[in-house]
Amino acid sequence: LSPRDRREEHVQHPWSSFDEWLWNTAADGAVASLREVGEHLGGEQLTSWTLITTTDAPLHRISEIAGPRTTYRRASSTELLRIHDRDGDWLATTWPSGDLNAIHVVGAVPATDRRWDRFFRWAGYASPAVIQLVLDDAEITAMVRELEHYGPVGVSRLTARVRADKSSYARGWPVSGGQERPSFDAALAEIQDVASIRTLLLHVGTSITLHLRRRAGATFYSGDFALFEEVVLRLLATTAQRRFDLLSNRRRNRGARLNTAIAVELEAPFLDDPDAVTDLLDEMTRPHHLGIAVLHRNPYLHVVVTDYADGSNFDAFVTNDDRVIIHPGYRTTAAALARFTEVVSERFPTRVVEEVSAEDPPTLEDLLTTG
Amino acid sequence: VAQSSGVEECVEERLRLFRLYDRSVDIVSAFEMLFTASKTALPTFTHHFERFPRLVANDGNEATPDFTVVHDDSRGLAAEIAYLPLNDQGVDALCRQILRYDALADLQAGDGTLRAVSSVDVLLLVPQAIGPDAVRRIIHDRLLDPEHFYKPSVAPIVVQFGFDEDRYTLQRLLDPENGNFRDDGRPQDARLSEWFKGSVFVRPERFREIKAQRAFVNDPIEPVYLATHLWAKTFATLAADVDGPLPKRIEVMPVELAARLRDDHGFVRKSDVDKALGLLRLARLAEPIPNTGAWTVAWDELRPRHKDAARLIAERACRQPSTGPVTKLRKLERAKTIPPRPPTLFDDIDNQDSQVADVKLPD
Repeated sequence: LSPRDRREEHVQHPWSSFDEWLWNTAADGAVASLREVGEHLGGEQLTSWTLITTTDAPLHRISEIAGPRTTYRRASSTELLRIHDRDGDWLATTWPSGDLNAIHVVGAVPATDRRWDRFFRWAGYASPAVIQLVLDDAEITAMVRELEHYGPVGVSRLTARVRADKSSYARGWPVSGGQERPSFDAALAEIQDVASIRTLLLHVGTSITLHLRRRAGATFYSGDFALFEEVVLRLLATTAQRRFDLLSNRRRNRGARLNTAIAVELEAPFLDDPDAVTDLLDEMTRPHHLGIAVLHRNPYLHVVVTDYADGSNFDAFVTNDDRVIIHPGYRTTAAALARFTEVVSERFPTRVVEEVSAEDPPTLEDLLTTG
Repeated sequence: VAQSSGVEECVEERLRLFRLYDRSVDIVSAFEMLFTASKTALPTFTHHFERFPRLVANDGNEATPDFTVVHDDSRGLAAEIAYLPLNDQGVDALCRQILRYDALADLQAGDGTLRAVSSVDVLLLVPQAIGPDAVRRIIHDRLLDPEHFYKPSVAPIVVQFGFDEDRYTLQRLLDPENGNFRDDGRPQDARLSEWFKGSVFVRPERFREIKAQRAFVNDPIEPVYLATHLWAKTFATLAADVDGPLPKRIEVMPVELAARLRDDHGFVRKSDVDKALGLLRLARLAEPIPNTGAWTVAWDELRPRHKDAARLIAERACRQPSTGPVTKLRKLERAKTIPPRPPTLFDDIDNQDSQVADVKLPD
């Protein structure tokens, strides 16, 4: 088989009995609760992605984009989308999180299955109805710290991206031979300054095993589903909502200077060479409907980012090689900022996305020495 | 081949002017930061920094320095960014221009007021590559030549700017005949004459917000620069209120557009807007509505999508394509106004499909 043929080769997965059950529960307008869904898994894994949304029917928007390749149902506030994929029919469902702009998209298909990729390709066209989120280091750490309240958190597998050459790194810790699993801090210490976490297989005491993903995702494997729903999904939702709130109401007012800007602080000075800046510019235009105008490039970067989906526009600067700073324009939606920060963080591992002072005026000493 | 190389030259020249204009925006923004926002004693002694001065010189001509400053002690400063012309006539013209600044008696003091100033220091900002040349040609060859007309009250202060190591460097030329800031009586750390005994460095992050908000300088705006700004920011903001798919129809009056840009960013002339719209017309991105003075903008994503919009606008304006978002919008709108033919007994589904494809769009 040629590499292309191998790529094309695919296994037709049958429509699972779990998906069939869930799909049918919604036939008459009622639907099982997420808790019942978890209890009905019967050993199957359940993957959830937490998304930012600006509508109460994000799957409906995706079904409009995907057309006849999907069948849509809605039962109460839960949406169900049966996707007729060439790899097999499967079911994606959305569950409100309790936070206005955070929603969980849940499916029994494994997170690494290509069917999710195709789903998110459609989702990319559904902006601003659906926006993916990439967690920063601070958010991942905060989530693990919260999980530690429910028992010691051990790591049995970690995947990461090596900063130097962007290659993948994976490390597993077998528990045979009486060895204990490393804690989150110990696992993190192994890749400190070398690689950036992408996924973590976590064990919280004896109560739950789950995968936590930087793309604001989690997979439930076994244990107490209530804990997964109430703690893991809740944390992901509050994180997504916090991010949305951070990016909301940023619009510039007539003629006034802004006091604050948004900073995407990177884990390391990734933007220290011209090729990395080229990568960054390429990434900025990767999502559907995002465009750039370069006002200044080399040695510092100043671009105007335009979201053709909703007219949002803002200035993005790279004046230090470890951060991208955003100064909003006269129309700048949270959705557009979320999309932009997502593409930056997806390509360049991010320490934190935060509000910073828009102005950083120098002292006389600065002016006469470093600037 | 000759034609395509002409287009290429045209694009590169337009982008060169674009970069030059952007550098002026940087330099003026850096000085605005120094005078108004820096954590130094200077803002305390600055009564008003005017980024868009419009003044009348004593010879009755308009004087539009790149910025002016009125200090609390009623001394003034007028600055000009100059890319020294190669020919002598050009240098004479520059001297005539800054001679007017030297004689200004009033400077803008904010809120539409003027304030009398006891003196005006003329600050001439030139690129690093021509700093010594500027001193020689303006001060030595002209000011010090008894036969030459250029006789200001004091020598202009020639400061060169350059960019290296991620920061702008500002240096007063050390030639003994070069002018200096008249700032005696102010505290040491508010005296530019003290600062400029050495180099002054400004990192671009210090003026990011000023540049994002103010966006322009007092010179006529390079058409590609303004067209890019309009496309990426102003029209985007206006398009948000227009329903429907891309391309979106936006109708603008140049005079209103100029007023909006002034409200949003500072001074913009209607003539700047006219030139930018003219450029967008060549690019088939906008067209005038006959006999109205208004323009239709067909706001759309520029393609290829991954490319810089400034370059795409320059390329389109130089290439002058026969089609573009303007023609696309026209066709879409005309197609919408053609009523669908009512179905007949002989129509079946396949026929109906082919009818849609057969609709002839008027040119």
